[in-house]
Amino acid sequence: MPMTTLPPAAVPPPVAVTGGEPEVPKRRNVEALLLLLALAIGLFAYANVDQAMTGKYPSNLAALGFEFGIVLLAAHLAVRRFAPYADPVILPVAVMINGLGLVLIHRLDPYNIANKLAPHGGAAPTQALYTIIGLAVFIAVLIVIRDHRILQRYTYISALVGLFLVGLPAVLPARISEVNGARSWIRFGGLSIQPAEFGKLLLVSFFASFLHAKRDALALASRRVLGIYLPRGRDLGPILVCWAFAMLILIQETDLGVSLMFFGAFVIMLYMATERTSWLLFGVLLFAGGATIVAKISPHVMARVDAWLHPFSDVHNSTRQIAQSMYSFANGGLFGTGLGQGYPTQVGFANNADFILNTVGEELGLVGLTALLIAYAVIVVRGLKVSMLVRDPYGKLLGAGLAVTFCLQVFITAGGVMRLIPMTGLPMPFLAYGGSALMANWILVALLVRISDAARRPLPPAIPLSDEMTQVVKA
Amino acid sequence: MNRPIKKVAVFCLALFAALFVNANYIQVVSASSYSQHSDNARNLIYAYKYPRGSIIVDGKPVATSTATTGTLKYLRQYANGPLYAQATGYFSINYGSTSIEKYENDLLQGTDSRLSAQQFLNQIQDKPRSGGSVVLTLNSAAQQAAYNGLARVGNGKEVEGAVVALDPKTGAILALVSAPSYDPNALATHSNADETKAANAMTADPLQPNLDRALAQTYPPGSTFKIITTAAAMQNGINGNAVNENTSIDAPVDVLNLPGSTSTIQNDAGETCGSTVLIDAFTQSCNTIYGKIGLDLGGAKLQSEAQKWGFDQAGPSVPMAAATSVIPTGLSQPQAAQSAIGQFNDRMTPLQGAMIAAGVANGGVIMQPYLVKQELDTKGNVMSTTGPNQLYNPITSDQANQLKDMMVSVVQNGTGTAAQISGVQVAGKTGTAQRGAGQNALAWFLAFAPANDPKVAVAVLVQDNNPNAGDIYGGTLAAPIAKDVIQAVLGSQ
Repeated sequence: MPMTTLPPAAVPPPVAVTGGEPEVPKRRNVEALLLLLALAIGLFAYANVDQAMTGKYPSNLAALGFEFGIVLLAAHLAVRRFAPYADPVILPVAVMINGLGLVLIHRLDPYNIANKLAPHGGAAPTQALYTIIGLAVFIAVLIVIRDHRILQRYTYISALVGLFLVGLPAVLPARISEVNGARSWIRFGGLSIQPAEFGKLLLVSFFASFLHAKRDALALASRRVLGIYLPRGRDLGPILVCWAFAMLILIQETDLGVSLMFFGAFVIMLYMATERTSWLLFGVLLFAGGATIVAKISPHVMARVDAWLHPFSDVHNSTRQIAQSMYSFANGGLFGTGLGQGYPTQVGFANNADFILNTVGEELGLVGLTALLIAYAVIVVRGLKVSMLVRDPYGKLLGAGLAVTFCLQVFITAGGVMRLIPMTGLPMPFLAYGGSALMANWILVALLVRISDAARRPLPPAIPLSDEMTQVVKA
Repeated sequence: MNRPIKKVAVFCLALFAALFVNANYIQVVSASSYSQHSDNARNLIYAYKYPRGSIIVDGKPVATSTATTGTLKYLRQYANGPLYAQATGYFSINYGSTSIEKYENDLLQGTDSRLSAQQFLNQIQDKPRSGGSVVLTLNSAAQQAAYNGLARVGNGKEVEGAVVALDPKTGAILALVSAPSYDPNALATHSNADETKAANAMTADPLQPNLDRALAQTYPPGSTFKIITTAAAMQNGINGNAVNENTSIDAPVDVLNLPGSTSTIQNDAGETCGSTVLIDAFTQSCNTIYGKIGLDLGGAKLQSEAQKWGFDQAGPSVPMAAATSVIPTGLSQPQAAQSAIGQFNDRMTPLQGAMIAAGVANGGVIMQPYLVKQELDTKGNVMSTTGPNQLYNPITSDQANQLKDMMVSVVQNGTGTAAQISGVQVAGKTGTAQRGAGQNALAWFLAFAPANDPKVAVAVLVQDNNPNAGDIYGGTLAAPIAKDVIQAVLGSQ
């Protein structure tokens, strides 16, 4: 199984005695095969949905398969050309989830069109377009960013733009930025984007280069108290700034999800950079304390926490969606009702966005839901593995940071609709309807692919050392 | 830096593990409890997702499911709704279901375990689930006659009442009507607003169409109870002497003074009975003579006889559970005299009335009444047929024959002449139950026919609360309806 075994090139390639090109399997054919499989899964699900809902197979099945086949071929060729040593699993898994998302959005369209929750032609064609744009962006990132270390040059620009994007909805008037109680959008004309999706990439890049530069000071200059290394007061600056920012997002945008994702990613990256458990402890305490206070003063956050604790207390108003979400999962049971044969639309608003996991749980059952979550876990684990292989510390931090951010987003979103944690306003990556999130996630995957290429690319032939003995230089 | 990344990887997998555990919890462990929440619309959607089976009378479906284009896929419709409402009941979104719709729900919706093989075949052939059907014992002509009779009796005004007709030999229910009736279609609609409106109108109606008078309500039986008093006298004798239809009873013919009390029992309109012979007293429904029999027998013997006919026993399930008919315990002498003529606190359901008539008709054996003749599977094949079962055997066939003579005499020369049918010997007993001051009497008629080979036993109850209704007698209001029902049954055979 190519999914679970790591290419043999995981260990540094043996230095070629002859000085020629070392043999590292590129595994591009494996990727091509997996891409075909991902496409087949998507098309099969599409045919299945239409068969169940209309009794007919979709007329454009072949055409659609051809079109997406071309796009995937382009992506594959781009990887072959610009990142030949890339991890062969990350791209196909992302394609599979994206394809399944498209099918689910298409499956929910009849209800959403009838209830004016989707445009007249449905949300699926739009999302298909976003998918193609997303893959184009993926290709563009691979072409433009030939070496992920280039991003390191833009440390502070990333920080500024990232903060701007994440913070923007908070300062815009609510009529532009508020959707369903959470102010994390920018809407103008018919477009609505979630700038935080792009902001998260820039901030992770910034964290990576910042922590790379400061890691020694943060890690070593500390006092040991009661077995724990406590950071110096002056080194607390960055984490406090980040915490304050997360709290601001929470208060201003009333978005627990975005806030938790940023701060969590930052604290975990801080830990990875410094290897100091005390940062984790410190971060968890800071966030828990801050969030508790904010939850007490913000009615929106408080309502979500209440709905989490008592999901059936007000089933016709404030806890309606979480209750319906539970019913949806419950109805799916072990094997699900089959695509197109459940009632996930009962959840109403955002059934194809925040609550899209309901459709997976209800129609594909526990089995399908577990498979999907494993697919997400594969991306996360491959991302972390790649980070361990890559040689430069910035790349390690960037790759692991992206993987962790992705993991947190999946956990926060899935945990929210499954009532493991309070409901938040994050879309399920690659699955949910929404162009900005899809594009941002394709950039994230492109960056992981780029880093994985650097990780497995053999070193250029070593310059032979001189025969001279190393000498001790005496002053 | 790889060591912390490894730890973070473990942490990330722990997060996924938490999601897996949680998914198992909501999708498997607590799934069934979530599916029972009342705001979970899936219950309703699934209840309406597949067609229900039909309810069939005389080969014609009276309740069917028709496909709709709404979220709820099938609409329950009742052909001739008000006529069969007591039997079919309704299948409603907000008000649940009643009668056959409720009691045969598993079969009708197709979840009955006997259908599981067929449903499995449906499933593997990718066909939707379907329901089994229920064939009722009702005779459509008798049902229509009973319904029309009760509609006609109030002279243009709706009256309350009930008719139950049985096949005395099997217990099959041939007619089951409670008036006024209602339209079950109004409650089965998928429109919430229409449904609520119909339900509110029904609740607000002073005549209470939602009462099941035939099975679930009890009424004072009046003089129809004299059948049981007669049986008790034949069973026990009076003052040591055997009693038959020709026995002369030692009793006053105009006024019966009740011992230990200033009350008296008189005959209707203060009349004097022409004879003290039992059959004559029965024919003229003579209260003084039957009151005296009650005094001579005493309350305990009267009660014990009534219990043999089904009083004080749990009402039979037809499958709807009928109410219990009662005769009080510990009757004093005056109360025994009142009870013997069906007054004081005697109460019975119209079903019990029909069972009394059927018992006399069937040589003293009361059969278990039933409404479901056959259960059909999803393809219309007969799965089960209800067979006749003996329920009570209060009197001997000889006593039954004497009672039959007496009841024939009622229709031939007595209070029940309105039930006469040319060419058919009808046996019957009238009852006019007095109620409290300001309330009109209840009109009863119990009958069966033909007397020599009974095909139908019927109980008719009319409760006309119109103060200008004029004289109310079982013989004038109820007997003609019984006659129509008998004619309908005999005519349809």
